[in-house]
Amino acid sequence: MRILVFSEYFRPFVGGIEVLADQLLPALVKKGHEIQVVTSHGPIAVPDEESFGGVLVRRYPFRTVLEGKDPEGMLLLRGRMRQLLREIDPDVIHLNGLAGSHLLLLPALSGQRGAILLQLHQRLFEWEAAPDAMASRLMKRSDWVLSVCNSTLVQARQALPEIEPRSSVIRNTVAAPPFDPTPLPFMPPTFLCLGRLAAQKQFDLALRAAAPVLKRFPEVRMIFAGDGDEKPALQALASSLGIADRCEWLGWVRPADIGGVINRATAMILPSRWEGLPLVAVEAGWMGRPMVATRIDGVREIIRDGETGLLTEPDNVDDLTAALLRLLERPEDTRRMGAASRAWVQREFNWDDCVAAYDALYRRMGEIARARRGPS
Amino acid sequence: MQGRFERDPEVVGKVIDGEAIIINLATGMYYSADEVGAFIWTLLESGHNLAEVATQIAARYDVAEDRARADAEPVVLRLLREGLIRAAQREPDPAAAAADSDERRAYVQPSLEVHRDMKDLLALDPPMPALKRNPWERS
Repeated sequence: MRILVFSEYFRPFVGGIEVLADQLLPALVKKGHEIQVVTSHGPIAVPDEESFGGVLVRRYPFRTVLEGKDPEGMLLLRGRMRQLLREIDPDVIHLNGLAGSHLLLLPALSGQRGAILLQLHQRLFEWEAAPDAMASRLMKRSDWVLSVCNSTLVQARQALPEIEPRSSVIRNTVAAPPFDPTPLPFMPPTFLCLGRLAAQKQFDLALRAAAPVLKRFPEVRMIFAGDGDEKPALQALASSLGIADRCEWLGWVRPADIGGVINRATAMILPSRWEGLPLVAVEAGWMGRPMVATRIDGVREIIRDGETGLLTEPDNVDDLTAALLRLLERPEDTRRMGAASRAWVQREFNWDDCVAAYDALYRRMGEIARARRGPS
Repeated sequence: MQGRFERDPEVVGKVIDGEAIIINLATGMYYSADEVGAFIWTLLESGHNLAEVATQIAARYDVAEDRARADAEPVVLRLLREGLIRAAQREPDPAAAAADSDERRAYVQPSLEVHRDMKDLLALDPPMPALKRNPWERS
């Protein structure tokens, strides 16, 4: 089937949505689908078109015209999207996440015959439930609403009950990294914060929680793997807390190398404000690391508190400090949780099952498109 | 609503092929309008009053003038409420109403779509300003 994936962010950006798509789409090409990705240019020069894993990627200046508040640019892109959909005539239009650039795609969706699949990757905010919000518009317009976690699906169905019979979950996961997990290091113990250094991830909380831990366990190290707007503020915070010399800042790590970075960690920290079902938690499991994360959204569906990791209350530094201390004071328990996290992910977050589920959903959407097109 | 209007100076807008995108730079709100809605925008920002807008719509589209006025008025009120147009003392630009064809087009009731959440959507997924090289490639 012809699949057009509209994903505001794709490689070279790095994040959960991008990592999932990077692994999933070539796997679905192997299942026989013809897949093209429409995505946005970003801050570094990359080709307008390129292929990887049998997937054709087309890039357009979506963010440029939206952030530049350029109505003419937006209208011209709307016209290009209409033309593109006419040329490709996809069986399935997969809207990969909610994004501002969907504003440029909305008119092109009218009158086209493919099935529209909307995928939700994270928590729905209250403002997204308003009738004129992009989420509501697209949920109404879509033939199927797919969520990466139960938590977000419940929110979506509460916001728009009519989607109940045309919605489902395919739980987020990734393929196992090409690294064998090494034993958890305790000399020195090392906590890893992996992800964009953005307000959402709230890594400042990790620093504040780590400061009293480092007073008791001065050998502890912190690794930050990622980059973003918050980096200067985080580094300044580390200095003001007197722990700058315990922190290592890796910048962006090549996704293929993530397993090796995780192997340096005793445990991972994810004190996010909101999430879907974060892939870093799945990656932690594959590498046998316990994760300390906020008790929110789909995080609760991957981390079993006290068994495969520890869940803390949102915005609670003391709770996070207590969790980190527990990991250090009870190393055998920490090793047990690490092993349990790997076993849990192996059992419940199987990559081949995930690919098969997407394949089945695409074929189901294809039937909708075929019915819409009528007999040829 | 007898007076004339003009685009608010904090607003940018463009119409291409009968489609309008309007952005309020002060509030960060985005708006869109199709066909008749976009035509209304073109006429208002070039100084036409409501009565003139209705006349021009009836000349271009297959609709009676009184219906055109009844449908245009809520759009005009919305544009005013959203701060996209303001009262003006000026003569209208006749070029804005110039017909590009003698044939009247099919009429669709005009609307102005408000995209209130664009600012929030753009803020949720900030770009990666620190990205200097492609992290997917070996350094």
